[in-house]
Amino acid sequence: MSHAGYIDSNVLIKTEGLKVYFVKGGFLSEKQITKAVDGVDMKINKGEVMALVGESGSGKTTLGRAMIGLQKPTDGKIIYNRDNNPIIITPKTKIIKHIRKELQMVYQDPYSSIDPYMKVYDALSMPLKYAKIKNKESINKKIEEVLNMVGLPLDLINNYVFQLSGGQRQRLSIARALSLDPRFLVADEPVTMLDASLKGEIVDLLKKINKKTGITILFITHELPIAKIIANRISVMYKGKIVESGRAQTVLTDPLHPYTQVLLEAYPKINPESKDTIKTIKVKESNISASKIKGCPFYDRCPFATQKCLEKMPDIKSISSDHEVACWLY
Amino acid sequence: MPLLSVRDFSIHFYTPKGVRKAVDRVNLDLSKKEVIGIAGESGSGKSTLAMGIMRLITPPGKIVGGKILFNNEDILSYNEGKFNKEIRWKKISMIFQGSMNGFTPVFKIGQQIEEVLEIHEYKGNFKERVNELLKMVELDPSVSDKYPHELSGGMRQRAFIAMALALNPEILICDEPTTALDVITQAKIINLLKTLKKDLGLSIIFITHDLALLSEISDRLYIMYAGGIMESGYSLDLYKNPKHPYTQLLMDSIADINKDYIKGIPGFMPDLANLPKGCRFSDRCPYAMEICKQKEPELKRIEGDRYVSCWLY
Amino acid sequence: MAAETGIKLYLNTILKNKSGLIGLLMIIIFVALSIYAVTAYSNVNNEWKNGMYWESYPKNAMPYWMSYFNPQKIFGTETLTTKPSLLYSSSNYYIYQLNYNFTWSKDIPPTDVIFYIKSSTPMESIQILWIKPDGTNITLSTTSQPSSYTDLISLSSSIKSYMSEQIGYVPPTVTPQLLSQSLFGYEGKGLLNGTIEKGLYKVQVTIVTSPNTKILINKLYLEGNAYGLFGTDIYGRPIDLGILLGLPNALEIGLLTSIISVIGGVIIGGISGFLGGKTDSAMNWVTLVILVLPALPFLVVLSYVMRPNLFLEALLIAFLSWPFYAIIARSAAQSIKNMTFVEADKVLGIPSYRTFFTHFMPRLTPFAIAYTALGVPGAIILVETLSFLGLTPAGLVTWGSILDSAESNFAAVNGWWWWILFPGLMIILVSIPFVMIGFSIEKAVFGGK
Repeated sequence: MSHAGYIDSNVLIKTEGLKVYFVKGGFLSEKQITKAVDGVDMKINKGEVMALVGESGSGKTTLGRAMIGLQKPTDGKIIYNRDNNPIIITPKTKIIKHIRKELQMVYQDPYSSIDPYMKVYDALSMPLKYAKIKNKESINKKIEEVLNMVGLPLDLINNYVFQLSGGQRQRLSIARALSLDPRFLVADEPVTMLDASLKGEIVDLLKKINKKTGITILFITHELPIAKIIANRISVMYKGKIVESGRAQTVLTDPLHPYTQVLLEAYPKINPESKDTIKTIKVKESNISASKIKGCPFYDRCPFATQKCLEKMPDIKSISSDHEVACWLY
Repeated sequence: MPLLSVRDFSIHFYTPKGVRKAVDRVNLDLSKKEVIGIAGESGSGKSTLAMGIMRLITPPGKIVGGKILFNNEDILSYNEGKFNKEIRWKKISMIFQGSMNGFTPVFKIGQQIEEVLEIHEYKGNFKERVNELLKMVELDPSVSDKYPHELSGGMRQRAFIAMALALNPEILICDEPTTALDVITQAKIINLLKTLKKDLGLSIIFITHDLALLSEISDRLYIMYAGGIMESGYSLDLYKNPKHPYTQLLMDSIADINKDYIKGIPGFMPDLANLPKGCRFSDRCPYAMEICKQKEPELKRIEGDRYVSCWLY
Repeated sequence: MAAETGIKLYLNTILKNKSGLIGLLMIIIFVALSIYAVTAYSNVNNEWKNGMYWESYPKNAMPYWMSYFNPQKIFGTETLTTKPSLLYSSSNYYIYQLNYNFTWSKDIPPTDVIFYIKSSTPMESIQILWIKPDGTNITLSTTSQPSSYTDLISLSSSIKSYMSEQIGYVPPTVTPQLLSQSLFGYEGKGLLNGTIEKGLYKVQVTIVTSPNTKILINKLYLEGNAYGLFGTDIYGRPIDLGILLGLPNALEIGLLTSIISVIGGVIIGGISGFLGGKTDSAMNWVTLVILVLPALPFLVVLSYVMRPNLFLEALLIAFLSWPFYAIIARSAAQSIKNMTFVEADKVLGIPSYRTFFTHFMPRLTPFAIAYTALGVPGAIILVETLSFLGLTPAGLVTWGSILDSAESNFAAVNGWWWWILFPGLMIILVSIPFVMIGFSIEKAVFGGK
């Protein structure tokens, strides 16, 4: 645990120049480097819900995992403001048990993130046992508390996980994460695998939990409308870089980055009148090899791209009090 | 007169746990140059319906009844040979969710499309037709010399659409064609389908769970639940004024960028082998009445082209 | 999956499955027989190598039920006994006489004639007057001091002189059959031509003993050529008894070997796959090296050098068998490791060893059980093979050793098919229930999940 230097007291967790590169091959075959996270500066304030929005392959899951120490960064820092005592998070953070507790995760697939052959009671009590809550009574009390919080009936504890539906399992997943009283919760596409009719419940649940306990949430998703419902702030990610971020309302009603703009345009809206109109999608076909682009990752698809965009990565500019964009248009 | 008329169409699956009525007496009409959307949650039977129209049902599934009138002829009564020769891929074609993976990795795209032409005895120049098709789906003709893995998912899906249109079908069935694609590519494919409808006079059956997506392309809409049609009508009306309680709840559950809430639908879809007595939605319906639990409502015309299967009307 | 996982589910699945049920029943029968063998026949076990014990049994007898096919030519042993009469008693010696009468109606003579006389003190001499139905008779006596068992071979010199008297010469090889033929054939040149006299035979045995000796037991065995369920071997040992005595050994070593190798393999492979990294690479290397070793030659050499007992033998076989299971367990563990809940445990602060027990063990156990069952037949065959090669402990009755004995005594050439067929069949038979159970467990494990 080394001291990380200055961090704003409002901020719970932040990244500085975070890079996560995956290297395949290298010994006998050609090295293939995937730049999943390519220089990300992100700040998440205490008690807020930050939505990390991006398509699959944008690196958002890797970013989320790195932030809680599940993925070793290739470069850069992750600073966790623990009671005004900043700590750098590394994969070794798990060894320090009380830190590990505070950074939790809810996974995308409720069918594989909890062992289906476990009893619900065991799934909930085990983390508590190893968090040094030895007293059986306290454990049971905590279990009752979190089950209440996620809206699952108490008598479910005698069931096996495989007897639960997808929606119930996801609630259980949330309950399990909450039982350790975490400060920061990374929710990695928590509703993507659920039916449309269930998405609302889980999103509402997380919203409620955030309001009630003040827990900070990083909500990772590729579904913009879902982000809109729950997020205080949004960061839009494209090919490993944050291209735009700010207050959810602002970003969604007044998108600045061409990518954000085209994303919002392309997203289906309830609009039966438009059934015969061709939507304008302001995006070029990609035809340049990714490795040749030294600057903005959106260069090859951006209708406004210039030579500068090809060569240099845009700086992050603050357009208004809580709206930043990384684009040479500004 | 509709181009395609499905009447009383039923598909059952014979499993050890019982007979699952995946598609239960479905009625459907498709006119020329029309896009109809079939909406429903997973398990509603919409994909099975599409496969049934294409006669691609395999055991333990079986088409147990109904009529499919294409240009006033019951194509369901054709034997497999005749159907394959005259209808499948020639008059009615289909693209699926995983279609972009429907290409063999070892042959070039052009070769695979030519193979389809060959199997279906296309009379005409193969290479010309392939180029024509690729242009139609807004792909560069050079794509015909590429292998599937050299193309992106979106491009492969377009190429598959080209292959589906190879023999100039009148009807294209699309079963969740964009679900596996990113949102920008999805928008482009939808644009493409709209163009094809306009330029080729193609009639499309578009199947998806994404009601917002359907609103952007469908002329008419069918809402499917647990194997049966709950409501149907012009999409302009339906979206503004959904009549069936399920449709209403479904509309509320759509995640639309302009909404800031989504509601869920409590309960679970019933076991298709053990449908409840009466209306299949009765155990989740907020307006369920006594009769709903006893007798199944008929699909009734209530106004204009709006049909609802509900005792409230 | 409505039922709980666990023993209940497996028993349920096995019982529902027809083959599993049959398999289970067969094993129960085998176990019961083994217990019976070990308790009721423990003394016989020890006497297996004792030639004397089997004296009175017909040698190379075929199974008794063969006599139904041809009662005239295939028959069991007839045993006669009589009350000894004391003819003469003095202070120097006693003379006893035993009179046996029997009717012979078979087409062939007995394979041997054995006089079993147990007296309280050793006998001085015995003399046998053999009277054939037609009245002709022979006098027989032993050349040396008689033992309790007097068979035709011990009377051979008397019989040979009789032969030479009748046909003018003595055949170069004299077998008990030939000797017996002499006693039952028509006197004259055709004594040994195969026809025998049918009718009432009278046998008078005169015994001279020291004074005050009592004849405790007397029996006259007219040895048949059929005995028991599965016949006898060259020493007269019933094959059915041999099979019974070999059963517990086969089961014991089969189960022991299988359990040790499967459990060992699964633990090593499971932990290896779970840990990953350098430890995994090292363990995997070791596993592959041992896997590649040729099992049988290795075992033969080790067994020859070490002369192990049953338990050690099981360990040796297990040592060469575990890699097979380790590899399967390792890949199973690796695929389990990829499941999200394994990483979730890490995030929740649950230590790795606990993750192994909670998630990996329950997933590895079921197939371990299935493979234990399936591994038994292989182990049994391996042991019986070693036994056949003479490499198992000498005092042990095993089917392999029976077959070894059959081979050394040219059973096949001599036509003693029962000596080979039944032990061989048993090896196969005992494997069947384990395979059936193993497959039905496997079906439960992999079919369900």
